[in-house]
Amino acid sequence: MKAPAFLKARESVTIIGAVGFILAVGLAQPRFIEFENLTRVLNSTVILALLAAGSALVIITRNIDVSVGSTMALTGIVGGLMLRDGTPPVLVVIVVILFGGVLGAINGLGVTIGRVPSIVMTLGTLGAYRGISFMITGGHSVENIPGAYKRIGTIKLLGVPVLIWAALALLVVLGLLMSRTRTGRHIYATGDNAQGAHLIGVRTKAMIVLAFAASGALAATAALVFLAQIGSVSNQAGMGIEMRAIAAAVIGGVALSGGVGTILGASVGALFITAATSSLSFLGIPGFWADTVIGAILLIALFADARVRAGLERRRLSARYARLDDGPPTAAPTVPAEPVSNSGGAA
Amino acid sequence: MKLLRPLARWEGALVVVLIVQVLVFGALNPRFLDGARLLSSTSDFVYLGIIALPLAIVMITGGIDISIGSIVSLSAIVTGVCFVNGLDIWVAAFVGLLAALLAGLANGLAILVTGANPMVITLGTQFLFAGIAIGISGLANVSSFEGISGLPKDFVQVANGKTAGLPNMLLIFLAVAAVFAFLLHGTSFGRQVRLLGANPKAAVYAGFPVARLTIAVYLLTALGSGIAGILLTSYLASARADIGASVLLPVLTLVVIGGVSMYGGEGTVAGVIIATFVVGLLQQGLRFAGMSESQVSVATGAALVLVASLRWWTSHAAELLKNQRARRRKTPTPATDGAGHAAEADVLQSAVTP
Repeated sequence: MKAPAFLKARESVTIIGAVGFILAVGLAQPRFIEFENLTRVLNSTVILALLAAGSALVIITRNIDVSVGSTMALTGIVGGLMLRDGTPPVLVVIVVILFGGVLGAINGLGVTIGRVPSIVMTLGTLGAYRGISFMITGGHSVENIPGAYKRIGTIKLLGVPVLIWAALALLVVLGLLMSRTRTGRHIYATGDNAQGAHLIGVRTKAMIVLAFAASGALAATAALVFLAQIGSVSNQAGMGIEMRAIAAAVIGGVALSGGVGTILGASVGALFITAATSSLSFLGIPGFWADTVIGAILLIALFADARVRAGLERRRLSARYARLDDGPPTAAPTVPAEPVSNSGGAA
Repeated sequence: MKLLRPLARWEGALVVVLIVQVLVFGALNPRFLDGARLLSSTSDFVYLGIIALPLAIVMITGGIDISIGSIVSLSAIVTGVCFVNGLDIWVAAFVGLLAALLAGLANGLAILVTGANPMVITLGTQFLFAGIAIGISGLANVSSFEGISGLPKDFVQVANGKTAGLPNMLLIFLAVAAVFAFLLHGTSFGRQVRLLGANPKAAVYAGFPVARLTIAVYLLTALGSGIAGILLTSYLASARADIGASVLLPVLTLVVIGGVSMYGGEGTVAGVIIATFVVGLLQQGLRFAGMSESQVSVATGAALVLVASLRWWTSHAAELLKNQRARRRKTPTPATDGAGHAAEADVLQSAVTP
């Protein structure tokens, strides 16, 4: 019963943190919160937000996908080659997204039918997809993307790049699909309690494959954005970004234990990471501290989350005791609140 | 059947794979069988085994450490920067190891304090340690491409030299492996670690020092990563802040192919040692057979997935077989033994009807 309020609390911590951070940097350096700079930050959030949303979908099913960076590179290279050879952009968009979905579905099938733990499966395809993209290009990057396609990256609507609007719309639709449709709820159920979900008729394996396929398709969408924004793509594209995407999802309140988290949270997590790393230059901090900042935010988020959860658990227990007229004596000893920390005194 | 029994164990199967590999690659390219070359080529991959062994122990406890690559980088760059600032190289290497141990301590403490999934914690520290490594090299004005070179000859010789005809890297790996084999299979620490992974609650109720065990396994992993970072610095004769950036995938490959379960409680040191050579020689052999680096990485990725999948399906099939056999044993009529395979499909029925 408490779950919905609890979910909201998880994201609101991230949202408050992100907004508070941006305002704090703005206080120190007013130029940071000028409209132009904020749209620049948003513009560079788009790719990470799409990847984080995909990672969140997979993590919600209690799996993990570390292959999104390689999927993005491979689909981007295929898309870039098609565009360079004069394929109509509409066709390219459809083919690339489908291709990404297939690459993701391969992960999902390996996990469900092949019974490979998801981190092993996606680590395998992380190496394999990257290797395949090297083989396709022979180590060169794909240049000469037609100007007509690159222009998509510069079109603005109400002063904001159209790509931001498109990504925003996509993420909102995805969030609604997850919270309002039967399939979306089934994905949550799969991650929360796979056996229970299976018993009430959820096709858990299909849900897992679907989540992986969606993650692949979102990585392909990110690749399309990459092509439009950068105008070229190399084999190195998206190297290591999978960990940032997972970090964004976790910062946004998606729990690796499955069944918890939202697309909104993951997107805000991505915004937080991008805002933090791009604020460094405004604060006069050398750019090479970026990874340290991401790690620190992630760890602080985890510590805060542990605190919040422990507090909620305490409140839930004391509420339960309050309901019992006899008080805790009968119930208390049977509930060791944190067995691990009990023995922690030994250390 | 009795003769085949050792093969049913994962380590036995790995040994067979290793032998087949050497024969096949030897047939494809006889130069592969050149003993001296084969020995010296081990230096290219055994350092991964030095990290994989302690990581296997972490995974046996049911944890995981994503930050190993960053700890490799951290120890390498701390060693390099200390050396540049006038410390003796051996003292610098010691400081590098200390930095790695501190990182491991941070991992263990953070996992204990938050009670969060070790994967997320070490994902965070992966960024943190890599960031600190890059930060240190940035503060020291180290060129990120060249790193710190000009290391003393004695130090470079540690990983590149030979003792009694064997490459030092291989000897160090074997020594480390012996220590871990003793730790996991010969001490109460090893037994406790295994039970902690198999059933964490039972471990708590049995009064195991769970907190101390948790910190110890992450410290060991950090120590292994630190040693590997310093060896790698010596091997490449340069300390770089991104030296460990691509270590995670190959190390996890070794651990998984070595037969350590992702869910804890299962795995042996011998498996990881053999896997180190299986994977290392597989990659060398593929290169000898004329494959490009990207083709090798596709093949390794595919092998990883295939092995992990096979492992589940073979143990699943073994379980089914065992159940069938148990059911057959219950049937009182000895005639069913003679009936052989035909009865198999109907064992349940025949066990019930008489």
